[in-house]
Amino acid sequence: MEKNPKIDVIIVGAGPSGIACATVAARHGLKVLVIEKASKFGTKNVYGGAVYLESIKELFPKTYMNCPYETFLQKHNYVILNDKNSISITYENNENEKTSAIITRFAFDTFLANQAREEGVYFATETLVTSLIKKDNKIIGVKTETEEIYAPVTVIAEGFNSILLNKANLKKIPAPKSAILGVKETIRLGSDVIKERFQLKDNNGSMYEFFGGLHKEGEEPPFAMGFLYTFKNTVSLGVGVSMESLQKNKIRPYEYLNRLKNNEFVKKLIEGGELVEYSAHSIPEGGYNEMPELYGDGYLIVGDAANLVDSVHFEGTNLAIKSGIVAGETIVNAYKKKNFKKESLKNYKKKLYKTFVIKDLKTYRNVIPTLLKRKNSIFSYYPKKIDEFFKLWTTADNKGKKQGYRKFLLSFFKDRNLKELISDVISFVKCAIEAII
Amino acid sequence: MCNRSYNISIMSENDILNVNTDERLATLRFICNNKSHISIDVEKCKNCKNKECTFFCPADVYTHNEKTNLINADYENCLECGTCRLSCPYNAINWEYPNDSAGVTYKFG
Ligand SMILES: Cc1cc2nc3c(=O)[nH]c(=O)nc-3n(C[C@H](O)[C@H](O)[C@H](O)COP(=O)(O)OP(=O)(O)OC[C@H]3O[C@@H](n4cnc5c(N)ncnc54)[C@H](O)[C@@H]3O)c2cc1C
Ligand code: SF4
Ligand code: SF4
Repeated sequence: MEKNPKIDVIIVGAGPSGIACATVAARHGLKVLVIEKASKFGTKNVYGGAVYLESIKELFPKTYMNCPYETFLQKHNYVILNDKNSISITYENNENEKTSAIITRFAFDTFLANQAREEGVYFATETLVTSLIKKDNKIIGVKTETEEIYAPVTVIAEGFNSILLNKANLKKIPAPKSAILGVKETIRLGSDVIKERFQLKDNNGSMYEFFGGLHKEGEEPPFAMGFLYTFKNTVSLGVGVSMESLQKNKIRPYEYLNRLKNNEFVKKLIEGGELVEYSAHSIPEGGYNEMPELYGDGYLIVGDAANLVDSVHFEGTNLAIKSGIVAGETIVNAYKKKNFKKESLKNYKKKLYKTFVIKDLKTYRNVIPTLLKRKNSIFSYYPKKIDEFFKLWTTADNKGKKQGYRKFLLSFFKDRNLKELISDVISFVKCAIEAII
Repeated sequence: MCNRSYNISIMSENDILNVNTDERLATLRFICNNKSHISIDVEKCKNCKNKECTFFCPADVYTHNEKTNLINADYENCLECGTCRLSCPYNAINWEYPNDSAGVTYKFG
């Protein structure tokens, strides 16, 4: 790069959101600089394992299938874990239509960055942005450890650990209940073992979501869920735990991971494997209700930095890419009008509200807060009741079935204070109605 | 100089169901940073009964010294997950990213 080039757009962070925004802006002839603290793309980033092809296709319509995906999701498993027993549902899609793929962050971020580079995006890696430069309430550039860089527009794509936004008072520091810590192990099993154990053929992949099974008798259940993704030679197994639960329960995050690994159901899947990587990263959980203002004079916020994660469906990379694309388009238009003030950049928010990104976040805006409130019910009481039901269904006790069912139904009114049942019903119905209407 | 607090030689073969923190951290490459990116306001810790930081960190970075009643931070083992920034009930932890590209690097992520 030249010594003092005029930069049109600065983007902080080379994750999916930053790269998407950079690509769109560069494609329209703007000079875009992406600043990334890692020396190699993706090496500071962690996620579960699945990316959604539709969003990548929108960004790179011609080349999106050249990305070195390891497997394509064919099986989705939902498993309720109890101490010893489990109940699982598998959705197997055999229509051969590929909608999501499994890939490491290192490979995914590297692919995206290389594509962007081909479209003219400049990258400054191994460079930490230490603060945003504010002048008369306008963001005019960024400070790194060695220099100041200025541009008419700055895009903040720094992820959920939003130190820059917090420092500049553009986003509140989230409360522990609005954040999840994900801890994960990458476990090598070899491709033959994976295919056999997970009953997979060719380049098909499988994912699991695990509910319950993480607390011991007498303990408060954590607000937490487990996940597993099958790669070619490895699986990633992790738990996402609410920081509020971590703070209150005094149980270490990897202790929850240990419990998941040693559950009878999960154990069988990973036995004999070798730990090849341990990792941890935080996930926004505040959703729509806690989004920061998405724009202001001279800046836009995209991806996780703006809380754009759909934690009901484990989706983040696609919302990140879509928000980056919309931000990029907004910047291109702002350049046409030569206006980088609020009134011009607010089109980003306007447009984003019309996409699935904000629509989905709105649909689920009260789901997480509700589940948090009813966490004893969902992570402890109902998993046990479902287990009881299946025990009843599957055992012959020579007493006649009807009596058993009656007793089971009555138990919902007798096990706990009636208030609990009523609160559960009201909260779940409310969530369902909000999601549909 | 960079002092990592675990012993790499234990990493030969792990039983996947029973790995400990040292074995977990030994799977990672850390780029050394001479300066700590974590600082603790010890005054605030004095009021803190539960010492939550010794529980919520996935890398056991924080340990409590019973004798001195101080919290020590093994910043070299930090996974940069961001939990301590949000979860210390007294806001006693000042956490920044390590300089430039120092700190943890992931091969898989
Ligand atoms: C455990 C876990 C599991 C997940 N599972 C999935 C999944 O299966 N599927 C899915 O779609 N999503 C998943 N997500 C969510 C997904 O990872 C995020 O939504 C997505 O990565 C957001 O992209 P982003 O570009 O906004 O931010 P990030 O990917 O976080 O990228 C931010 C980038 O900015 C850089 N950066 C930050 N600050 C600075 C600075 N000051 N200076 C320079 N560079 C900086 C970082 O190094 C990083 O490269 C998961 C997340 C976690 C934590
Ligand atoms: S750092 Fe925070 S959690 Fe840890 S002892 Fe101090 S006040 Fe308590
Ligand atoms: S960022 Fe995460 S790993 Fe690092 S010290 Fe804080 S809690 Fe521990």
